[in-house]
Amino acid sequence: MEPGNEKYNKVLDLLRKSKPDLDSTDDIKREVIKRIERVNHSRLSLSDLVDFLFGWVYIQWVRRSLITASIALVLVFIYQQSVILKRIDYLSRQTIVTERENGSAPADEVEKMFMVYRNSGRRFPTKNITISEKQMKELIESVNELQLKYKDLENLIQEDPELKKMIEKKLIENNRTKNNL
Amino acid sequence: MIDIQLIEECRGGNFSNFRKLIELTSPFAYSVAFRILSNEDQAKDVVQETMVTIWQKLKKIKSAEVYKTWTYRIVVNKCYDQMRKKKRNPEFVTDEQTWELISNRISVGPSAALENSEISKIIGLLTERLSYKQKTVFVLSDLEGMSNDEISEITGISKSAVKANLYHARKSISEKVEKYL
Amino acid sequence: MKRRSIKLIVLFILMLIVSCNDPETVVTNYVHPDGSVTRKIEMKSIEGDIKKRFKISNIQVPIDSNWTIRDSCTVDKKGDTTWIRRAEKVFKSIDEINLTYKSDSGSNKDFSRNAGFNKRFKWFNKEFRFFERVDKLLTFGYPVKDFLNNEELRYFYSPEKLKEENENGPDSLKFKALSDSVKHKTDKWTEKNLVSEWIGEFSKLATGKTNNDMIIKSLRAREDEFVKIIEKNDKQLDSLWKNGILLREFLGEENAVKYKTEADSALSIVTKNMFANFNNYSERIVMPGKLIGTNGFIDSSHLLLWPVKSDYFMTEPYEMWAESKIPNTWAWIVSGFFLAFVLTGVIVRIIKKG
Repeated sequence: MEPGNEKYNKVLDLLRKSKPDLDSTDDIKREVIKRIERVNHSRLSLSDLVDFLFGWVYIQWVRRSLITASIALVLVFIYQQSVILKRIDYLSRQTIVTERENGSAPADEVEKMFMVYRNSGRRFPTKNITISEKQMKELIESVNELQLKYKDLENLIQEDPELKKMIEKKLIENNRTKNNL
Repeated sequence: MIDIQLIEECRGGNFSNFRKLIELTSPFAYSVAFRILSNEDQAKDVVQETMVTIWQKLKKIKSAEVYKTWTYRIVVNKCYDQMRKKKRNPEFVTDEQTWELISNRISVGPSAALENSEISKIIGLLTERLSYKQKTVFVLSDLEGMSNDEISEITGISKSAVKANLYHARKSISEKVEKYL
Repeated sequence: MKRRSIKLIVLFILMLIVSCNDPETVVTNYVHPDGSVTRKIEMKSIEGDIKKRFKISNIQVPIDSNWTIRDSCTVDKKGDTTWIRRAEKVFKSIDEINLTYKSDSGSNKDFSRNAGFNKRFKWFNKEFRFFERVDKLLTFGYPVKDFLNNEELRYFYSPEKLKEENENGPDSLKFKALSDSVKHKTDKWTEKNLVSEWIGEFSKLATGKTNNDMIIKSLRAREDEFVKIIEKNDKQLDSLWKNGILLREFLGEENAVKYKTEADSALSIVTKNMFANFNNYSERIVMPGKLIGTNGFIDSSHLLLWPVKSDYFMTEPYEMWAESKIPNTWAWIVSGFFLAFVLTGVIVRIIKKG
């Protein structure tokens, strides 16, 4: 724009000198105060609510009691949890057995019972049977004989693989028939 | 005159002092708002909102100089919000009538001040094709008489941008004036 | 010697006969937070005779027709059949379980057993404790922990499978040595219990007779000496006792005659208690919530496991216990809100003060 533009300068001059006229500030004052009070009121409500909920913070003994109670609660929690975690950690080091346990009597228990029986010099206390020495002798001899024969038979079977297969097959068949499978 | 003492008194929540502040602030705030928006009601709204904002942020004001710049900044931002919210005021009678008005007023002489409606029409016509930034810079510089530094501080745009916007605004207006007047 | 061999063989055969009829039993207790217990029993038997298989009188734990029972069988590669009986019952409270123990007609009916349950409210958690206890057999016996160190004790109470694994595992030498040590020490423990119990029973029977106190005191003082005598003469004990030699050694010539009846009766009681015919089984417990403590072993399905054997309750009650916890969700929520409330109040105060 050239500074020497006369028309432009005149127009500007006109506009500059004609300041917009604000007829009265009273309306503006009234409106502004109204708006401010409205804003304050809503703020006050929030402030009132906060004071209502947290008014206790200004009462020393209440504040201190609640803070003490909170600290105690946190300490109790930490203590309880640490005790539990310690116990769980100790548990995790417990032995794991890989197979399910059954309830059969172990050999050492039988041995122990024999030892006690030996020491006591008494018969089996609850399940007693009376048997003569002769009958006992015969029983023992036949058991021994059976054991020897069984051993011989077992050796024979082991030495002959075909015989072994045949016998195993027969045993399975027999058991199936017995159980009606 | 706005001094820091008045501001400090208002900080304490004193409405009567704040009324005084409104009285002192409203004229120049209204002037800028009206010249930018070219609408009385919208300009009054902006002034009211500006004062409410000032009330809420009084604590931040440290000096009277800061106050004025700060007020202008709020006004400019509020005007921008208004322009985005509402449609542009299409209340120009006709371009020809307005040019005739301008021509008449220029020929009458500098003593005859314009009425608000006339100011509105003229500024509206002259700045019809300007962007919001260009219009604001033009109003603040050529109508309100502020320096580029002040305008830069108020609008938040750089000094070079202020210069550029001002150049475009003046060019556009002077071309129009040359053409139609 | 011949008589002894015969006795041993007879006893062994009898045991085999008896144990053929006893199923392998595992009892699992599923404990619920309200104190009710679902008890599941699994029994395995190879008994061919259906009448003898799973006979109530052969079963190690109380069971009756009110239980839900399912039978099945499996046949292995060799063609051997194993019969399986699974029984289940829900007990509304521990008292019902204890009642069944009292009215038990199974193979272990003469043994005093009971169960217990309690829960404790600990604000953030609810803790549960469940136990099953078998009362001790002997009154004057010594605790096994007086004879075994911690490692040996652990081995002593281990399930058989675990012992087998360890003895066949990479540290087999160590565990075999441990096994021998435990065997040796528990033999000593048994001998000591025998003597101590006999002295205790004898003193009960001989109460009131002249010089009784002096005799009892002297017997107690010489306890270790008697144990050594028994150890030294274990092969001739039977005849030594019958001939009164042992008794004369213990009580002196005069008192041996005077107190023979009481001495014999005491021995009878002792052998009856020590040699009680308890049929072993296994016990498992499943607790509600998270497990926090137990004295049991943990098996592959993460169930707690205890072998139940007469050794374990010879001189002390055998207690199988487990503890668990469930978090009290509402307590956590309430505590959280309370802490948040107090913290907010403190922050509000700091802000307002600032």
